[in-house]
Formats: sequence, structure tokens, C-alpha cells
Amino acid sequence: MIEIKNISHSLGGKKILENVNLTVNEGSVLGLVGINGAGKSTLLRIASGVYIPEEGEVLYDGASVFLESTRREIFFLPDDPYYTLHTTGKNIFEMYRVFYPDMKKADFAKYLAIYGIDEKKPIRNFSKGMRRQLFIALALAVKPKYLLLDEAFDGLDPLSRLTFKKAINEFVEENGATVIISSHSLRELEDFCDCYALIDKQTVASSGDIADEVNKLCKFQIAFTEDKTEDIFAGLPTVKIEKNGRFFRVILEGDSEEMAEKLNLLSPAVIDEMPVDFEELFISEVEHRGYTK
Amino acid sequence: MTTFKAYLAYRLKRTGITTLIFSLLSVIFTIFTVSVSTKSFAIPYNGETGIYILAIILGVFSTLIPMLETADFKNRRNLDTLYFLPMNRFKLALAHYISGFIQVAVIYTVSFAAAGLYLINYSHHFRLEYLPLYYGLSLIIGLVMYSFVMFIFGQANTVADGVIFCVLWSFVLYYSLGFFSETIGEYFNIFWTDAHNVVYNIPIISELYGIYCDISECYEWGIVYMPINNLTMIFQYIIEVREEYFVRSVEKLISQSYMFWVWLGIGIASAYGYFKTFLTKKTEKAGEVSDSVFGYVSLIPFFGFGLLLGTSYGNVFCIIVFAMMVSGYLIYHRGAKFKKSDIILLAVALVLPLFGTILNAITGTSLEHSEVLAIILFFGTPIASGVSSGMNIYLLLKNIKERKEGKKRKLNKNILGIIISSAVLIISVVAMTVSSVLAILN
Repeated sequence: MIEIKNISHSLGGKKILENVNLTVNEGSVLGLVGINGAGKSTLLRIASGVYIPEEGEVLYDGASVFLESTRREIFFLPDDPYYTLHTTGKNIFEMYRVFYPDMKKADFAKYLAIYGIDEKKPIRNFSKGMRRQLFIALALAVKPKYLLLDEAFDGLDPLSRLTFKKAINEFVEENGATVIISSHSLRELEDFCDCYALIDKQTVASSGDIADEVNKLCKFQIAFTEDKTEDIFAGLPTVKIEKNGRFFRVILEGDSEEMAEKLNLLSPAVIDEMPVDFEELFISEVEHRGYTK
Repeated sequence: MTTFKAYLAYRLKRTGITTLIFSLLSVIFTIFTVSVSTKSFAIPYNGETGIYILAIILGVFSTLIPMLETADFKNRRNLDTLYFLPMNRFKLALAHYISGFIQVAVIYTVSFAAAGLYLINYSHHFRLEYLPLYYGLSLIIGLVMYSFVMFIFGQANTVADGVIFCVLWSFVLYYSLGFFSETIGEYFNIFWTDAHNVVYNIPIISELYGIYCDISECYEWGIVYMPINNLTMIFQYIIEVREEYFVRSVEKLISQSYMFWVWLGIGIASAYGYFKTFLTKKTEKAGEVSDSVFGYVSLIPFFGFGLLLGTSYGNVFCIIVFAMMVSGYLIYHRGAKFKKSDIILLAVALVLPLFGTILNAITGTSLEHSEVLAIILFFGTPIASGVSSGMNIYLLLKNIKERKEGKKRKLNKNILGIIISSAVLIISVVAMTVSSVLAILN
């Protein structure tokens, strides 16, 4: 279990995180979401021990992140990992094996083969996506108990994303690992994260089980015979309203059956319930907080 | 094998080829210098060892290797991949410290061995039995230089700032120690490079490079910039069998050996500073403006005022020094963002030469540096303490206001600052008045 307790941290004199508390249960895959500059990367760096927080602590199974024994079970993959002009995949593997002696060359080679990456070629010649794949292969070969991934899908093409998601799912199933993964690709996160945490205004604004949170919302497509304005939904717990001609797409808070009954009272010509996804949940959250309209 | 040992072995393996190349280059330079020197000046002496090249090699690599060894820690991306690894920061710092010094020691030892093997052919000319003592002493001082560069380079947040700090601090250390040495009456201390050597050899060096272009002479002059210049010179006297100097040189080596402990003190303090900085420095500062007190904050005023003191007031050089100070702050802040303290220091730097010019005009004579220093202290102390009092009073009033507005919970300790600076102001004004009255009466 990962426990992030009362974390506060500033960068360049500006408060980035204020009293952040978050618990990630054993075997969970947590999606860390938030708008650009919200502090997701800073939180991951603190969680991995790269940054020393000004206040608070991070515990893994009750032990501090700064203990060597704890760190042996953690692997952090930053959004832009470092490499020199002549670094190859082989060099990277050799360096990390110093710190993770149980790491197996065969595992690394297996993951590289999935992505079709040559470990002997200099990393500088790789595309951003290929570099990402190489480091993901490294992270998975380490077989950490706790895997922290920053902007995990950045630079990956749709096929690689699919392969990556499959690899993570298998990795979690086989090793019982706990994963925190930050990304802006919410549709991708929804596929394999079981819980989420939204970082907003320097703290965890909301968190929980993705399915539970999504079920708190319902979405309908409604059409009227006459032209109506958005005011028709006044008094309903709307989160988002989109108008397209005589059609409306409405996201509401509450039980879907109850909301459908209320909407039927407006005498629509057509009413269809639609599924709500994680991205809509995120957008409705941030819009609700006044970021976009 | 523990992670620490494994990482140290990995570092040594990774730097192996670089060390090999540096060692080969050093051996080539050593053999060339030693072979040229032993065949020169055959009469009236028996020849020269040319071991000054070893001092240059030690000086160069004790400066270069720490920078190469820790440059990666100035890169935030690299820190992301290093600081989460299962090895605590002290061990990480120690691994890089040991790995770097092993590289320096290997390069120096290989060069030393090459020089020694060559000189064995001339063993009847030289007292080669003193070579091991020179090797031991110089290597320890090399470790001190290495630790000092490790500490200073560690103060910077970027590689460029680190190089600037190391260059400037090497002058600060050797100037200060040279002046200290001269102050206590030792104009030639075997453990320091004399300050005047550094200053007076600048035009000679440029002349040598410009006119003679004799490579052996060129880097022979390079040794005056090395902190072990005088130590090497003494050992040259001892080893090169110059009977008239031999006894005096050995006596000097023994009588001034106490200064060796000062070197060791600097080394221990530097090593402590290096580890302390490594453990406490914020990771997120990598690549940012270098705001350490051992950086631009202290170096710009030191060099500004140091150069002003070292020149005649009224000279156009003062304007150049002032422009250098301004440029220094522009580099430091990455733009024209001057703080109050910078403006005060620049104002003082501007006022001092003007003041000196006026005094020169009144007295009609050129002032000695010591007189200038005395005048600056005489007038500078009340000015500085007055400014300090004013600033402290301003900050105190500001704090009181903020406290009333609920922005601050407790008052800063400005009252103590006001008391101290006011006391200094009163004492200096009284001293100034008394001495002026006495001067008039006389």
C-alpha cells in the first residue's frame, strides 16, 4: 500500500502541492489526472523519492520512501528519461542491473522484442515513441512491486498503446504490482485503471473507484419537436449541456432512472441514454471547477 | 557485492576509456618534458628533472575530473533517473567522489611512474630517493584540490555556472592564501602559489605564447597557476642536486610543513561541504539560476572590490571593473533583475573610485593600496553601518505592518541588526571625529 501523507511542496517559490493525502491499495492501478501544471509530475517525483517534500511523508507498506529497502521495490519512469549521445538499450540495462540485481536480461529482451527495438542502437536515433517503449521494457523487466509512470502514453502510437496496456495488465496480474500512472489519455487510463485521483488547486480534489464515480453520472441525448433553449433543464442537476440544433446532450448527476423520469416530464420527442466515460467525468469535473466552458 | 560497491565498479568501468586516454596523453607530455629538461642546461648544472609537468597534470586533472564526474547532477532529467534508485544520496555522492579521485590518482601515478622510469637513467645526477616523498605530498594536496573543486562545482546548478565558479574560486583561494602568506612574512611558502606570481605572469604568459611559441616553455610557465608550484620547485632543488640549495630547501620543507595541515583543513572542509551540499540541495534546482552563497552572491562583490582595491583610483580600469560587476549580475540573474543588495553593492562600487579620484585630485599624489584600504575602512564603515541600520529599520517597520495585517506571525530579529549596526555607526563616527580633531591639533 502506498500512503501519501500531508504532502506540501513548492517549486521556485510557488506552491505546487498543499496538504496532499492519497492512499493507493495493494494491487491497484491508479490513474493520476489533472490539467497541465496541476502538479502530477511533482507528486510522482515526491512519491518516488526524487524530490524531498517540504512537508509530509510517503510510505510504502508503512516504510519511508527514503529507505533503500523500500526503494528496491519501486521503479519510477519519468516523462522524459535521460540518456547521453552514445547510450544504447544495453547500456541502460547494465546500469539498472547494478541497482536491481535480480533483473533478468531475458525479460528485458522479451519486452524489447514485442516492440521490435534493437538494444544495440543508440537511443538518440529512436523516435520519441520508441524511446518510451524501451524504458517501459526496462521498467517491466525490473519487476517492481510499485511502478510509477509519468505521462505513460506520451509518444506512443495507437498500436503501441494497446500493446502497452496489455503488458501492464499482464504485469499487474502476474506480479500483483501497484501502479500509479499519470496521463492525459483518459480513455486509455479507463481501460486498465481501477481508481483515479484528480489533482487540482494543489491538492487531491477528488479520488475513488472509476466505475463508482462514473456511475454517479448519467448521460442522455434528447430531441424536442420545437426549438428549445438550455433553460429548459433549469432545476435539474446538470453537469454539462451540449446543444446541436434541436438535439441536446445532457450529463446529470444522480441515478439514471430517476433522471430519465424527470427528463420525460419535459416531453421530449426522443430520449436515449448513453454511457458516460472517464474522460467525460474528468471534463465535467474540471468544467465544474471553472477551467473551461 | 553491495549496491555501493557495484555502482563504484560500474562508474570505474564506464570512465575507464577516458582515464586511459587521459593517462596516455599525460605520459606523452611527461616523457617529452622530462626528456627535453634532462638534456638542457648541462652546464653548470647536471640537468633538470622537468617534474613540474607532473604538477601541471595533477592541477589540470584535479580540476577537470570532478567536473566530469558530477556534471550529470546538474541535469534534472538525469536526476529523475538517479534519485529514485535504491541507493541513498550519501552513498551516491561517495561513489562519485571515490571514482573521480581514483581516476585522478591513476592518471597522476602513471605519469609519475613514467617520469620516474625515465629519470632512473640519470640516477647518478639526481637525488631520486626524494621522489616518493614528493609523490605522496603532491597526491594528498591533489586530493585537497579535487575536494575543493568538487565542493565549488557542487554549488552551481548548471555546468556553465560550475566552471565559472571553479575558475573564480581558484583565484580567490590562491590569492587569499598568497596574501595571507605574505602578511605573516613568508614571501615564499612552499604550500602556496604566491599571489604576485599569478598577477605578474599574465603579461609574460601572453608574450610567450605570442612571440616565442616554444611549447616546452609555454607549459613550463603554466605551473605558476598550480597551487603546488612552490612545493614542486623545492623538490626540484632537492632532487636536482644543487648543493647550494639542497640544505636550505630541506630546512624550508621542514620549517613550513605546518602549512600542510592548513591544506588538509581546507580539504576536509571542502569534502564535508561537498557531501553536505549533495545531501541537502533541492533536486528541482538543477538547471536553475545558481543562487548559492558560494556562487555569484559572494564572487561578484569579491572580484569587484578586489580588483578595485588592486588598481589606482581614477583609472579607466575602474569603469571596466564596474562594467564587469554589472555584467556579472546580469549573468547571475539571467537578465536585468537587480535585487536591493545588488544595487547597494554596485552603488558602493561606483562611489569608491569616485571617492578615490577626488582624494587623488586633492592630495595630488597616487595613493598606495594600503592607504586606499584604510580610507575605505575609515569612511566605508560608517556608510555601510548607516545603510545597514536604515535597511533594518525599514524591514522592522514592514514586519510590524505585516503582523498587524495578519500576514506574519512573528517579528524578524531586525532589532538586533539595528543595535549592532547603530553601535558600529556610532563607534566609527566617534573614531572619525576624534582622529580628525587630533589631526587638526597636530
